[in-house]
Amino acid sequence: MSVCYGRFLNNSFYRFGKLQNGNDTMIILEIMAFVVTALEKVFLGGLIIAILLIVAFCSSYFQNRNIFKRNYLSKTFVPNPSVEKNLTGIGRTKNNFLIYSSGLGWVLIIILTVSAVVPWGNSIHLFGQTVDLQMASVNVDVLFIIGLLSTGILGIMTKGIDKRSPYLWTKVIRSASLVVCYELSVGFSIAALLMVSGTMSMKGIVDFQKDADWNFIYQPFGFILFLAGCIVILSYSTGVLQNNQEQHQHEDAAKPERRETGLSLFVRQLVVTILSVLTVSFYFGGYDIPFASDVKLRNSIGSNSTAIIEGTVLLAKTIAIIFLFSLAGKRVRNIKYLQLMNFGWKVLLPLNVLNMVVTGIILLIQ
Amino acid sequence: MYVSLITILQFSNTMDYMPVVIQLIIAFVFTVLLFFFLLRYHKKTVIDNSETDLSITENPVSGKAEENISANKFFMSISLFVLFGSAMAVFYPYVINLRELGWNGFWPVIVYIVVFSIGYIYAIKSGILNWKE
Repeated sequence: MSVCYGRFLNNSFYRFGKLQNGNDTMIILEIMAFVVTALEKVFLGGLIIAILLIVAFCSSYFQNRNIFKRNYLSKTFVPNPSVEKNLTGIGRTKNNFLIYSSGLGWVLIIILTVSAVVPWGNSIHLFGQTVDLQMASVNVDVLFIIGLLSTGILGIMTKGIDKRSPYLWTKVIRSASLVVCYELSVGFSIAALLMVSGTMSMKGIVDFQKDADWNFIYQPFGFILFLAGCIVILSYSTGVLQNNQEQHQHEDAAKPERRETGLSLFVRQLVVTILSVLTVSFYFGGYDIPFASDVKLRNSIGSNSTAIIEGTVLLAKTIAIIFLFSLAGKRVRNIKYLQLMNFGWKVLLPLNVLNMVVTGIILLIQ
Repeated sequence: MYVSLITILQFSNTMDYMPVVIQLIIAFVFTVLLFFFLLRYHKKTVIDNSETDLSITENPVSGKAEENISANKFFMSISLFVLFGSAMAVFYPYVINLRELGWNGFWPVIVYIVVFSIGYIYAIKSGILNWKE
């Protein structure tokens, strides 16, 4: 009977140490174990989301100092008189507020959901039980992440629809097609990475890199391609195609750099945060502590203290990558759209395929 | 033939996704609460929008705020994406089993890459990315 609940419940049965034949008390224990495990997951999920939000808030603060001001985040939803007066066209004939706001909401939801499969540290021991710091391990973690993140394109496409949107529909569609192109490149560079690690589980990928044996050493070129794709995706992730439209160059020159504001800025920084966490997990060892052996550390100071250090190390690495992304993003926004499109299709994609083939040949020769 | 739910669950790892569903619910509740919180002042207050006002003015050359663009190009771009997206999805199972399959698995994949490279080169040569027309 207990087999049917899969690994999720079996873990909790082992906790109670009563995985025997099914009887009446077994059913009560099953329900208890289910409730306890679910509560643990809820607590862990809340903690992960809280950490993500704090990091995203701090990084938005460095982008725009007004983020903590009252009403700042709701700016995104307030109708803009000058926009409504000037704009007519596709999607602007009526008030499509639900579609407009649901795009941002969807991006928020998928980002927070993806954080469930990221390992945030090794297991800890609380109240005599072992708690994994990875909420869910779904056997195809990487596919799950790619599949979920690629629906984020909806968040871009719905941004140009409402009357109050400051973005043009055509701009939004074009940035969506650009993001699609770069997502493809990132997918190929992840494929080359999976060749090296040989597993799709995030925990497996991170465990493979322990003791400073990071994937970055085996995939330096793949990492650069991955980074290039990610930077472009991040610059366009919430539907911003600002300075680089050829038909608007006359006014772009006059105005200073325009920035995202309100909730879009915050959501974009959240996307930056989760992509940094993924970059660290893929290429920089995840929660692996540099210059120290995790196993030895766990034996000497205990697993709980080690898990806290591991989480801190992961956060520190993430913040370093966030700085890298925000520094590069400013430069990317000044490149013209067509240049980026040509670069993505004609340079980045063939290079990624080549990188994958060469990686395969090297691995097979060894 | 009747297949019970328990039989399906026995041979799958559906319950592994339970924490993901829990996280999805937490994320959904958080998002809805955040949106309700932000929309309190939605109709009441007037907020200074000077920062949000992004480049929405008429183009002096064409006299329009929004330019007409070719829908064909979008369809072409999307079909290119469909072609390579499916190609990418095919690689993932192979990539995981690279070492087990060895050279016997490698050459068919090279043939596959050559075939879709021909399609790629044809698409690029036929001006699929030429947006200015």
